[in-house]
Amino acid sequence: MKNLLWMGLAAASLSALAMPGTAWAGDEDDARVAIAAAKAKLDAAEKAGVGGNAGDVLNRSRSVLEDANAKFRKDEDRHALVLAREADALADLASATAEMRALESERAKVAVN
Amino acid sequence: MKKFMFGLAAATMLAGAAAPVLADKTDRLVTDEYREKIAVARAEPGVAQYGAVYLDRASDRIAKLDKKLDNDKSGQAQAVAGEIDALIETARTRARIAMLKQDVEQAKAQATARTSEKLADAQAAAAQAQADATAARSEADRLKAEMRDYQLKQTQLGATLVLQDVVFETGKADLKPGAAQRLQPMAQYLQANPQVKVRIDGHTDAQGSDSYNQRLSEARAQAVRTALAGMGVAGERITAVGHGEADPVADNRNAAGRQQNRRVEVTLVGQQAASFAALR
Repeated sequence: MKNLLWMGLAAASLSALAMPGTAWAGDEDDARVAIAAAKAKLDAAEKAGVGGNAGDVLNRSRSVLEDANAKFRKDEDRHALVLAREADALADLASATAEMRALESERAKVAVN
Repeated sequence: MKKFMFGLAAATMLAGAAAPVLADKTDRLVTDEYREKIAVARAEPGVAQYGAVYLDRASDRIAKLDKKLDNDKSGQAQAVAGEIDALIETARTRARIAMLKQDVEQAKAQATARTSEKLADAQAAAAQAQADATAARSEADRLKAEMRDYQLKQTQLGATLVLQDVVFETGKADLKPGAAQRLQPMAQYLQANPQVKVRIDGHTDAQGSDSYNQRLSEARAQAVRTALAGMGVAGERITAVGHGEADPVADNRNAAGRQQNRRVEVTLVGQQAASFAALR
Protein backbone atom coordinates (compact mmCIF):
# COMPACT_ATOMS: atom_id res chain seq x y z
CA MET A 1 0.00 0.00 0.00
CA LYS A 2 2.85 2.30 0.94
CA ASN A 3 4.62 1.43 -2.26
CA LEU A 4 1.52 2.14 -4.26
CA LEU A 5 1.26 5.54 -2.68
CA TRP A 6 4.87 6.31 -3.49
CA MET A 7 4.41 5.18 -7.08
CA GLY A 8 1.34 7.36 -7.44
CA LEU A 9 3.25 10.31 -6.11
CA ALA A 10 6.08 9.61 -8.49
CA ALA A 11 3.76 9.41 -11.47
CA ALA A 12 2.06 12.65 -10.46
CA SER A 13 5.39 14.45 -10.05
CA LEU A 14 6.61 13.31 -13.47
CA SER A 15 3.39 14.45 -15.03
CA ALA A 16 3.57 17.85 -13.33
CA LEU A 17 7.14 18.39 -14.46
CA ALA A 18 6.44 17.36 -18.02
CA MET A 19 3.18 19.34 -18.56
CA PRO A 20 4.28 22.93 -19.26
CA GLY A 21 6.74 22.01 -21.98
CA THR A 22 4.71 19.39 -23.72
CA ALA A 23 2.54 20.15 -26.70
CA TRP A 24 -0.88 18.56 -26.78
CA ALA A 25 -1.97 16.65 -29.81
CA GLY A 26 -4.45 19.43 -30.64
CA ASP A 27 -1.85 22.23 -30.48
CA GLU A 28 -0.49 21.47 -33.93
CA ASP A 29 -3.92 21.70 -35.46
CA ASP A 30 -4.72 24.90 -33.58
CA ALA A 31 -1.46 26.48 -34.73
CA ARG A 32 -2.01 25.35 -38.31
CA VAL A 33 -5.54 26.78 -38.34
CA ALA A 34 -4.41 30.06 -36.74
CA ILE A 35 -1.57 30.45 -39.25
CA ALA A 36 -3.92 29.75 -42.15
CA ALA A 37 -6.46 32.27 -40.81
CA ALA A 38 -3.82 34.97 -40.36
CA LYS A 39 -2.42 34.29 -43.82
CA ALA A 40 -5.87 34.52 -45.39
CA LYS A 41 -6.47 37.84 -43.63
CA LEU A 42 -3.09 39.17 -44.75
CA ASP A 43 -3.66 38.07 -48.34
CA ALA A 44 -7.08 39.70 -48.38
CA ALA A 45 -5.64 42.92 -46.96
CA GLU A 46 -2.87 42.95 -49.57
CA LYS A 47 -5.41 42.33 -52.33
CA ALA A 48 -7.52 45.21 -51.01
CA GLY A 49 -4.54 47.53 -51.32
CA VAL A 50 -4.02 47.99 -47.60
CA GLY A 51 -0.27 48.07 -48.24
CA GLY A 52 -0.62 51.45 -49.89
CA ASN A 53 -2.02 53.21 -46.85
CA ALA A 54 -0.82 51.02 -43.99
CA GLY A 55 2.26 49.25 -45.36
CA ASP A 56 4.07 49.65 -42.04
CA VAL A 57 1.47 47.74 -40.03
CA LEU A 58 1.01 45.16 -42.77
CA ASN A 59 4.76 44.49 -42.80
CA ARG A 60 4.71 43.92 -39.04
CA SER A 61 1.90 41.43 -39.48
CA ARG A 62 3.76 39.65 -42.26
CA SER A 63 6.94 39.49 -40.20
CA VAL A 64 5.16 38.03 -37.17
CA LEU A 65 3.44 35.48 -39.39
CA GLU A 66 6.84 34.42 -40.74
CA ASP A 67 8.00 33.92 -37.16
CA ALA A 68 4.90 31.84 -36.50
CA ASN A 69 5.65 29.65 -39.50
CA ALA A 70 9.24 29.26 -38.37
CA LYS A 71 8.12 28.12 -34.92
CA PHE A 72 5.59 25.76 -36.45
CA ARG A 73 8.28 24.14 -38.58
CA LYS A 74 10.32 23.59 -35.41
CA ASP A 75 7.28 21.95 -33.81
CA GLU A 76 6.91 24.78 -31.31
CA ASP A 77 3.19 24.71 -31.88
CA ARG A 78 2.05 26.77 -28.90
CA HIS A 79 4.47 29.52 -29.69
CA ALA A 80 3.44 29.37 -33.35
CA LEU A 81 -0.19 29.66 -32.27
CA VAL A 82 0.27 32.85 -30.22
CA LEU A 83 2.42 34.41 -32.93
CA ALA A 84 -0.21 33.56 -35.55
CA ARG A 85 -2.87 35.24 -33.41
CA GLU A 86 -0.67 38.30 -33.04
CA ALA A 87 -0.20 38.38 -36.83
CA ASP A 88 -3.96 38.03 -37.24
CA ALA A 89 -4.60 40.98 -34.89
CA LEU A 90 -1.99 43.04 -36.71
CA ALA A 91 -3.65 42.28 -40.05
CA ASP A 92 -6.92 43.59 -38.60
CA LEU A 93 -5.09 46.66 -37.38
CA ALA A 94 -3.53 47.18 -40.83
CA SER A 95 -6.94 47.08 -42.53
CA ALA A 96 -8.41 49.51 -40.00
CA THR A 97 -5.38 51.81 -40.28
CA ALA A 98 -5.62 51.85 -44.07
CA GLU A 99 -9.32 52.71 -43.90
CA MET A 100 -8.64 55.45 -41.37
CA ARG A 101 -5.83 57.00 -43.43
CA ALA A 102 -7.95 56.91 -46.57
CA LEU A 103 -10.73 58.71 -44.70
CA GLU A 104 -8.29 61.29 -43.34
CA SER A 105 -7.10 61.96 -46.85
CA GLU A 106 -10.67 62.21 -48.16
CA ARG A 107 -11.64 64.59 -45.36
CA ALA A 108 -8.66 66.82 -46.15
CA LYS A 109 -9.66 66.90 -49.83
CA VAL A 110 -13.31 67.66 -49.09
CA ALA A 111 -12.32 70.38 -46.63
CA VAL A 112 -10.17 72.07 -49.27
CA ASN A 113 -12.90 72.07 -51.93
CA MET B 1 14.65 2.60 -4.00
CA LYS B 2 13.48 4.48 -0.95
CA LYS B 3 15.84 7.32 -1.81
CA PHE B 4 14.46 7.47 -5.30
CA MET B 5 10.93 7.63 -3.94
CA PHE B 6 11.86 10.51 -1.65
CA GLY B 7 13.37 12.30 -4.58
CA LEU B 8 10.20 11.91 -6.57
CA ALA B 9 8.12 13.18 -3.67
CA ALA B 10 10.31 16.23 -3.40
CA ALA B 11 10.00 16.82 -7.14
CA THR B 12 6.22 16.53 -6.88
CA MET B 13 6.11 19.21 -4.22
CA LEU B 14 8.37 21.45 -6.26
CA ALA B 15 6.23 21.01 -9.37
CA GLY B 16 3.08 21.92 -7.44
CA ALA B 17 4.73 24.93 -5.95
CA ALA B 18 6.45 26.10 -9.14
CA ALA B 19 3.45 27.75 -10.85
CA PRO B 20 2.38 29.99 -7.93
CA VAL B 21 5.98 31.05 -7.42
CA LEU B 22 6.27 32.19 -11.07
CA ALA B 23 3.00 34.11 -10.87
CA ASP B 24 4.82 36.68 -8.84
CA LYS B 25 4.08 40.32 -8.33
CA THR B 26 5.72 41.34 -11.63
CA ASP B 27 3.39 39.11 -13.64
CA ARG B 28 0.34 40.50 -11.90
CA LEU B 29 1.60 43.98 -12.58
CA VAL B 30 1.89 43.16 -16.25
CA THR B 31 -1.62 41.75 -16.51
CA ASP B 32 -2.97 44.63 -14.43
CA GLU B 33 -1.24 47.02 -16.78
CA TYR B 34 -3.00 45.43 -19.76
CA ARG B 35 -6.35 45.44 -17.98
CA GLU B 36 -5.78 49.12 -17.33
CA LYS B 37 -4.88 49.70 -20.98
CA ILE B 38 -8.13 48.08 -22.05
CA ALA B 39 -10.12 50.09 -19.49
CA VAL B 40 -8.51 53.35 -20.63
CA ALA B 41 -9.25 52.58 -24.26
CA ARG B 42 -12.83 51.60 -23.44
CA ALA B 43 -13.34 54.98 -21.73
CA GLU B 44 -12.19 56.92 -24.80
CA PRO B 45 -14.90 58.47 -26.99
CA GLY B 46 -16.51 55.98 -29.33
CA VAL B 47 -14.10 53.13 -28.57
CA ALA B 48 -16.54 51.12 -26.46
CA GLN B 49 -19.18 51.62 -29.16
CA TYR B 50 -17.19 50.97 -32.31
CA GLY B 51 -14.32 48.82 -30.98
CA ALA B 52 -16.18 46.60 -28.54
CA VAL B 53 -15.42 43.40 -30.47
CA TYR B 54 -11.68 44.04 -30.33
CA LEU B 55 -11.68 45.13 -26.69
CA ASP B 56 -13.62 42.02 -25.71
CA ARG B 57 -11.12 39.85 -27.54
CA ALA B 58 -8.30 41.73 -25.79
CA SER B 59 -9.96 41.10 -22.42
CA ASP B 60 -10.24 37.41 -23.23
CA ARG B 61 -6.55 37.31 -23.98
CA ILE B 62 -5.63 38.65 -20.54
CA ALA B 63 -6.12 35.19 -19.07
CA LYS B 64 -3.87 33.76 -21.75
CA LEU B 65 -1.26 36.41 -21.00
CA ASP B 66 -1.45 35.58 -17.32
CA LYS B 67 -0.92 31.92 -18.08
CA LYS B 68 1.99 32.53 -20.43
CA LEU B 69 3.66 34.83 -17.95
CA ASP B 70 3.50 32.06 -15.38
CA ASN B 71 5.92 29.98 -17.40
CA ASP B 72 7.29 32.12 -20.17
CA LYS B 73 10.50 30.45 -21.09
CA SER B 74 10.12 30.92 -24.80
CA GLY B 75 8.82 34.48 -24.88
CA GLN B 76 5.27 33.56 -25.84
CA ALA B 77 3.88 36.16 -23.46
CA GLN B 78 5.40 38.82 -25.65
CA ALA B 79 3.35 37.58 -28.60
CA VAL B 80 0.16 37.55 -26.53
CA ALA B 81 0.94 41.06 -25.29
CA GLY B 82 1.54 42.11 -28.90
CA GLU B 83 -1.82 40.65 -29.88
CA ILE B 84 -3.58 42.53 -27.06
CA ASP B 85 -1.86 45.77 -28.03
CA ALA B 86 -2.92 45.28 -31.65
CA LEU B 87 -6.51 44.57 -30.59
CA ILE B 88 -6.65 47.70 -28.40
CA GLU B 89 -5.18 49.81 -31.20
CA THR B 90 -7.65 48.35 -33.69
CA ALA B 91 -10.53 49.24 -31.34
CA ARG B 92 -9.25 52.81 -31.18
CA THR B 93 -8.80 52.93 -34.94
CA ARG B 94 -12.33 51.64 -35.52
CA ALA B 95 -13.68 54.42 -33.28
CA ARG B 96 -11.57 56.95 -35.17
CA ILE B 97 -12.91 55.60 -38.47
CA ALA B 98 -16.50 56.02 -37.29
CA MET B 99 -15.82 59.61 -36.28
CA LEU B 100 -13.96 60.33 -39.50
CA LYS B 101 -16.89 59.01 -41.51
CA GLN B 102 -19.12 61.47 -39.70
CA ASP B 103 -16.59 64.25 -40.33
CA VAL B 104 -16.37 63.41 -44.02
CA GLU B 105 -20.15 63.32 -44.37
CA GLN B 106 -20.39 66.66 -42.60
CA ALA B 107 -17.61 68.15 -44.72
CA LYS B 108 -19.29 66.84 -47.87
CA ALA B 109 -22.59 68.39 -46.81
CA GLN B 110 -20.83 71.69 -46.15
CA ALA B 111 -19.04 71.50 -49.49
CA THR B 112 -22.35 70.81 -51.23
CA ALA B 113 -23.91 73.76 -49.43
CA ARG B 114 -20.98 75.96 -50.44
CA THR B 115 -21.26 74.80 -54.04
CA SER B 116 -25.00 75.49 -54.04
CA GLU B 117 -24.36 78.91 -52.58
CA LYS B 118 -21.74 79.66 -55.21
CA LEU B 119 -24.06 78.40 -57.92
CA ALA B 120 -26.89 80.60 -56.64
CA ASP B 121 -24.53 83.58 -56.54
CA ALA B 122 -23.32 82.85 -60.05
CA GLN B 123 -26.89 82.49 -61.28
CA ALA B 124 -27.87 85.76 -59.64
CA ALA B 125 -24.81 87.46 -61.13
CA ALA B 126 -25.61 86.01 -64.55
CA ALA B 127 -29.22 87.19 -64.29
CA GLN B 128 -28.03 90.65 -63.25
CA ALA B 129 -25.52 90.73 -66.09
CA GLN B 130 -28.24 89.71 -68.51
CA ALA B 131 -30.53 92.44 -67.18
CA ASP B 132 -27.69 94.94 -67.44
CA ALA B 133 -26.96 93.83 -70.98
CA THR B 134 -30.62 94.13 -71.92
CA ALA B 135 -30.77 97.60 -70.41
CA ALA B 136 -27.56 98.57 -72.20
CA ARG B 137 -28.91 97.26 -75.51
CA SER B 138 -32.12 99.13 -74.96
CA GLU B 139 -30.21 102.32 -74.16
CA ALA B 140 -28.01 101.82 -77.20
CA ASP B 141 -31.10 101.36 -79.38
CA ARG B 142 -32.64 104.53 -77.98
CA LEU B 143 -29.41 106.41 -78.57
CA LYS B 144 -29.21 105.13 -82.13
CA ALA B 145 -32.77 106.19 -82.78
CA GLU B 146 -32.13 109.64 -81.41
CA MET B 147 -28.93 110.05 -83.38
CA ARG B 148 -30.80 108.92 -86.49
CA ASP B 149 -33.43 111.57 -85.77
CA TYR B 150 -30.81 114.30 -85.85
CA GLN B 151 -30.64 113.88 -89.63
CA LEU B 152 -26.95 114.70 -89.65
CA LYS B 153 -25.52 115.88 -92.92
CA GLN B 154 -22.18 114.91 -94.36
CA THR B 155 -19.57 117.66 -94.47
CA GLN B 156 -15.84 117.65 -95.21
CA LEU B 157 -15.12 117.46 -91.47
CA GLY B 158 -17.55 114.69 -90.66
CA ALA B 159 -21.18 114.20 -89.66
CA THR B 160 -22.73 117.56 -88.85
CA LEU B 161 -25.77 118.58 -86.80
CA VAL B 162 -27.09 122.04 -87.64
CA LEU B 163 -28.68 123.92 -84.74
CA GLN B 164 -30.73 126.82 -86.07
CA ASP B 165 -30.83 130.11 -84.20
CA VAL B 166 -34.19 129.13 -82.69
CA VAL B 167 -32.23 127.37 -79.97
CA PHE B 168 -30.80 130.72 -78.81
CA GLU B 169 -32.42 133.77 -77.32
CA THR B 170 -32.59 136.55 -79.95
CA GLY B 171 -29.32 138.45 -80.18
CA LYS B 172 -27.86 136.43 -77.28
CA ALA B 173 -25.64 133.42 -76.84
CA ASP B 174 -27.80 131.78 -74.16
CA LEU B 175 -29.35 128.43 -75.10
CA LYS B 176 -33.09 128.25 -74.69
CA PRO B 177 -34.29 125.84 -71.98
CA GLY B 178 -35.33 123.07 -74.43
CA ALA B 179 -32.23 123.43 -76.57
CA ALA B 180 -29.90 121.75 -74.11
CA GLN B 181 -32.21 118.73 -74.05
CA ARG B 182 -31.80 118.46 -77.81
CA LEU B 183 -28.05 118.01 -77.27
CA GLN B 184 -28.54 115.16 -74.78
CA PRO B 185 -28.42 112.27 -77.32
CA MET B 186 -25.30 113.80 -78.84
CA ALA B 187 -23.65 113.98 -75.42
CA GLN B 188 -24.56 110.36 -74.69
CA TYR B 189 -23.20 109.27 -78.05
CA LEU B 190 -19.94 111.07 -77.30
CA GLN B 191 -19.73 109.47 -73.87
CA ALA B 192 -20.19 106.05 -75.44
CA ASN B 193 -17.61 106.83 -78.14
CA PRO B 194 -14.76 108.56 -76.32
CA GLN B 195 -12.48 108.51 -79.38
CA VAL B 196 -14.78 110.82 -81.35
CA LYS B 197 -13.86 114.51 -81.27
CA VAL B 198 -16.28 117.39 -81.78
CA ARG B 199 -15.99 120.67 -83.65
CA ILE B 200 -18.50 123.45 -83.05
CA ASP B 201 -18.80 126.26 -85.64
CA GLY B 202 -20.88 129.37 -84.85
CA HIS B 203 -22.35 131.47 -87.73
CA THR B 204 -24.52 134.62 -87.97
CA ASP B 205 -26.37 136.47 -90.70
CA ALA B 206 -25.03 139.68 -92.18
CA GLN B 207 -27.07 142.07 -90.05
CA GLY B 208 -25.06 144.08 -87.56
CA SER B 209 -21.38 144.84 -87.55
CA ASP B 210 -18.77 142.23 -88.41
CA SER B 211 -17.20 142.43 -84.98
CA TYR B 212 -20.57 142.02 -83.25
CA ASN B 213 -21.41 139.04 -85.44
CA GLN B 214 -17.96 137.54 -84.83
CA ARG B 215 -18.35 137.83 -81.06
CA LEU B 216 -21.94 136.48 -81.18
CA SER B 217 -20.94 133.47 -83.29
CA GLU B 218 -18.01 132.69 -80.97
CA ALA B 219 -20.19 133.04 -77.88
CA ARG B 220 -22.87 130.77 -79.32
CA ALA B 221 -20.30 128.12 -80.32
CA GLN B 222 -18.87 128.40 -76.81
CA ALA B 223 -22.35 128.04 -75.27
CA VAL B 224 -22.88 124.74 -77.08
CA ARG B 225 -19.40 123.60 -75.97
CA THR B 226 -20.24 124.43 -72.36
CA ALA B 227 -23.57 122.60 -72.63
CA LEU B 228 -21.89 119.43 -73.93
CA ALA B 229 -19.16 119.66 -71.30
CA GLY B 230 -21.91 119.98 -68.67
CA MET B 231 -23.32 116.70 -69.96
CA GLY B 232 -20.07 114.88 -69.31
CA VAL B 233 -18.12 115.34 -72.55
CA ALA B 234 -14.52 116.25 -71.79
CA GLY B 235 -13.77 119.82 -72.81
CA GLU B 236 -10.49 118.92 -74.54
CA ARG B 237 -12.42 116.83 -77.08
CA ILE B 238 -14.40 119.89 -78.19
CA THR B 239 -13.18 122.71 -80.42
CA ALA B 240 -15.43 125.79 -80.62
CA VAL B 241 -14.92 128.36 -83.41
CA GLY B 242 -16.89 131.52 -84.39
CA HIS B 243 -17.09 132.57 -88.04
CA GLY B 244 -19.38 135.63 -87.79
CA GLU B 245 -21.14 136.29 -91.05
CA ALA B 246 -18.26 134.96 -93.18
CA ASP B 247 -19.76 131.60 -94.19
CA PRO B 248 -23.38 132.07 -95.21
CA VAL B 249 -25.33 129.09 -96.55
CA ALA B 250 -28.24 131.18 -97.88
CA ASP B 251 -29.06 134.65 -99.19
CA ASN B 252 -28.77 137.31 -96.47
CA ARG B 253 -31.13 139.61 -98.40
CA ASN B 254 -34.30 137.84 -97.29
CA ALA B 255 -35.52 136.71 -93.90
CA ALA B 256 -35.63 133.02 -94.77
CA GLY B 257 -32.02 133.09 -95.96
CA ARG B 258 -30.85 135.02 -92.94
CA GLN B 259 -32.55 132.52 -90.64
CA GLN B 260 -30.65 129.70 -92.32
CA ASN B 261 -27.39 131.58 -91.91
CA ARG B 262 -27.91 132.05 -88.17
CA ARG B 263 -26.75 128.62 -87.05
CA VAL B 264 -24.35 126.57 -84.98
CA GLU B 265 -22.92 123.43 -86.58
CA VAL B 266 -21.87 120.57 -84.33
CA THR B 267 -19.63 118.17 -86.23
CA LEU B 268 -18.62 114.66 -85.14
CA VAL B 269 -15.17 114.76 -86.66
CA GLY B 270 -14.37 111.96 -89.08
CA GLN B 271 -17.80 110.30 -88.73
CA GLN B 272 -20.10 109.37 -91.57
CA ALA B 273 -23.57 110.91 -91.54
CA ALA B 274 -24.86 107.96 -93.56
CA SER B 275 -23.91 105.57 -90.78
CA PHE B 276 -26.28 107.39 -88.39
CA ALA B 277 -29.04 107.57 -90.96
CA ALA B 278 -28.77 103.83 -91.50
CA LEU B 279 -29.10 103.02 -87.77
CA ARG B 280 -31.92 100.62 -87.02
